[in-house]
Amino acid sequence: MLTLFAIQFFTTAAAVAFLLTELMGGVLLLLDWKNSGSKIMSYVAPVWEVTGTFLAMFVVETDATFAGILIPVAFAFAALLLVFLILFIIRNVAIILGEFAEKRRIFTDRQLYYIYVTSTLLLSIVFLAFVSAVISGHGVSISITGNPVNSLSSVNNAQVTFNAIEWIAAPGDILFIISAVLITFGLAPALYDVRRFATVGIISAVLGFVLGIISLVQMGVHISPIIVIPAFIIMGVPALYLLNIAKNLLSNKAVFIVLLIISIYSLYFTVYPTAMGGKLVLSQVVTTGPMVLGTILTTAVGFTLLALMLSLYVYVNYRSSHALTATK
Amino acid sequence: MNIGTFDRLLFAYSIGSHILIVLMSIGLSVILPVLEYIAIKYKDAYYDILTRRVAKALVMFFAVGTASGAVMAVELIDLFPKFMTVIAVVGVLPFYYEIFAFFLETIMLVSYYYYWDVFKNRMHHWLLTFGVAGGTLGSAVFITMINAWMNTPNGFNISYYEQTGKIIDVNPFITAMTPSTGREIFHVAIVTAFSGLMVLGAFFAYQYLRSKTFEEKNLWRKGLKVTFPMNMFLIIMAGLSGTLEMSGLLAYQPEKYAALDLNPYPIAKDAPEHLFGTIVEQNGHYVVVGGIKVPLLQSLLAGNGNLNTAVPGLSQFNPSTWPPLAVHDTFDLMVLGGSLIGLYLFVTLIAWILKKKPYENKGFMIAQILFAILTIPIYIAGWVTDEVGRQPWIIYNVMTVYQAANYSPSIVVPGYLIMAFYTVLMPFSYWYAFRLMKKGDLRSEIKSTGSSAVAGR
Repeated sequence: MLTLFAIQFFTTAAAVAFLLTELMGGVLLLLDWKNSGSKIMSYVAPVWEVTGTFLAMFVVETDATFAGILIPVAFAFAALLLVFLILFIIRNVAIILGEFAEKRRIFTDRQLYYIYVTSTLLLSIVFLAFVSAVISGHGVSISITGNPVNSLSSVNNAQVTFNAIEWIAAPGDILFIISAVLITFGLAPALYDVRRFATVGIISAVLGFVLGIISLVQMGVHISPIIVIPAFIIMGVPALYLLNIAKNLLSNKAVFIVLLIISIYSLYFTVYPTAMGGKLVLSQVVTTGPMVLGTILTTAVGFTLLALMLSLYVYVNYRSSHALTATK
Repeated sequence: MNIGTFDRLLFAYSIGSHILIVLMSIGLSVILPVLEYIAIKYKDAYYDILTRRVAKALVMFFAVGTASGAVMAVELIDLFPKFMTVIAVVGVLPFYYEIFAFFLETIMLVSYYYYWDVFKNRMHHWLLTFGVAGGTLGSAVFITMINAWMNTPNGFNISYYEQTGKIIDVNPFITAMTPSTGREIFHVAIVTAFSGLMVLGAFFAYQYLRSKTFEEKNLWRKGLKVTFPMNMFLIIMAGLSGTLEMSGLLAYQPEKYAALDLNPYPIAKDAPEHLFGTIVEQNGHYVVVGGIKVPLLQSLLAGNGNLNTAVPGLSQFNPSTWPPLAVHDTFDLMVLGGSLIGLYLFVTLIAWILKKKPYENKGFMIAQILFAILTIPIYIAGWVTDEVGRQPWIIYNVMTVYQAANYSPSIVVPGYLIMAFYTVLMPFSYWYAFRLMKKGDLRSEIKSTGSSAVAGR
């Protein structure tokens, strides 16, 4: 097991989990602003900043982990990355303006939140497109000779190109994105405790999971028994919510995020030990040498501090919800 | 335009915009603990309102800063992948530390602002401001470590890398402790906080001049009573840290030093200081033309009073590696502008000591606004001096900017879009943050705070 890659994958899972919880809220905001708007925003308004920080962490860790292939990947995915950034700026600006929106100026808070949701959805799709290309290798042409980390002065020994048309035409990738959107919608009612979508939610989650499996098979991924973990979480959570079992636990944001991280992290073996449909051997491009120790030590200290900070956040959030319930 | 040049333009424009957000984030985060402490200690409703309004503006700048910071991170990878590859193998740890400082800032600010009323004990709430300020400053400190490493790289066998292109003998832990790290962090943290607080002071002064009611005037006057002394302290520290920074350049980056002080040749003693001017070649010799020559001043400053201090000259280096000599002008602009602001703050201090109440005087208010406007180009000039002064290198004496650049044409269109975004986003962010700070019905806010407003204190 490559330690740096394992750490990077964990950060990816955490960033995606936070992003998905926002997206779940966003989908419900679009469908049920009137009834659920304030309930959803009481979670989304503070947490979107944490999501942004996790995404920044993802960028830094990706840089630290994949030093050997950074140059050609930056060349191949340059435009996609910059589009992601533009959407990220729109998302942040829209939500902060929505938070402080005044009565009927240029945009209402609702319109601004819709812009926020749309940009978050689009940037998630861009991100998923990148992830699917990393898993399937569709549209990606890759050529590596030797170990690129050992020869950082030259880009000639590692070349990557990305052809978006080939990626779209290949089987599995678009289905992967559709399945992710369906799963997101399917889990949303349980997370935000919106009962009117509970039945549609379980249907969406099951359909999303099945389509997800089909897409992974089409992308050439070997389905390992570990798939049981995300299966249980993706279909079990909305099912339990529909049956009104452990509702409070499932609607607990901290528990839900932990479940999502576990679910996403279990996909580790869809890419390890090779990515891009077997075209990229990870051990060839993952950073080696003394930096590995530096990263591990920093991760150990940093994640301990982060856990303490997140505990404080969960605590104040709990006290706030408790005070709100007591007031009602 | 060459794509490599476009990369430089895009990054310079992006980071030039980004630091305008950063200076406000740092300025607001360092004043927050002071404002809230006074509000709690003296049960002063005005300071309580100021605290809340400053926190709101800080959240706004934080939101834009987060997005902009992510833009910086991705642009570095996208525009200068070869540089980031070396960073990944040798010096990525400060970036990684910065992420945890960023988390500290995020989680403390979220807990502070969104859960304000959860804290029954106000002192517990106040403690969070240290997390906010610590996280914000920490982020700046760790990013500055990377910049210091670019100026004085270490942590790997540089000569072997230059010969073979391979990186060996890596020590990732010492990259956070280069010869220039301490000096640069000291100077950057001080001048960034100073610039942010100058702008905030200007906002308070402007609002004071526009205010119609006693309550409004009192609110902004109290804000100025905090920004004035903080700025007086910070400008002294800025002078001290700037001097240290120059002595560091003299020892570790003599080529940059020679360009900043416009020395065509090394001078053994009694070196003069040139204010502005440039170097031209005449009959095979370099001569300084234009500007004002101040005898002895350079040796005096460089040697801390010792006129026998020798200073380096550009002739010691290959002309192909000289930085653009415009950095001499940006350096002079920075030093002269900073000195002028220092003089203004000194006069303010004297007026304060003589109990002339500068924070109520119209002339001082207008001066505060004008000098704050001057602070922005001076601050930018400081960064231009640092970054352009290192050209053509991205990592000093190791890798040039053009060697590091991404030459993929697919960057150009999204790059222009990003520049267009920043052009709109920066003025809008300032306008909106100031709007958030001035918005609100002050009388009802005073009532709702529940503190005893001590008018005129």
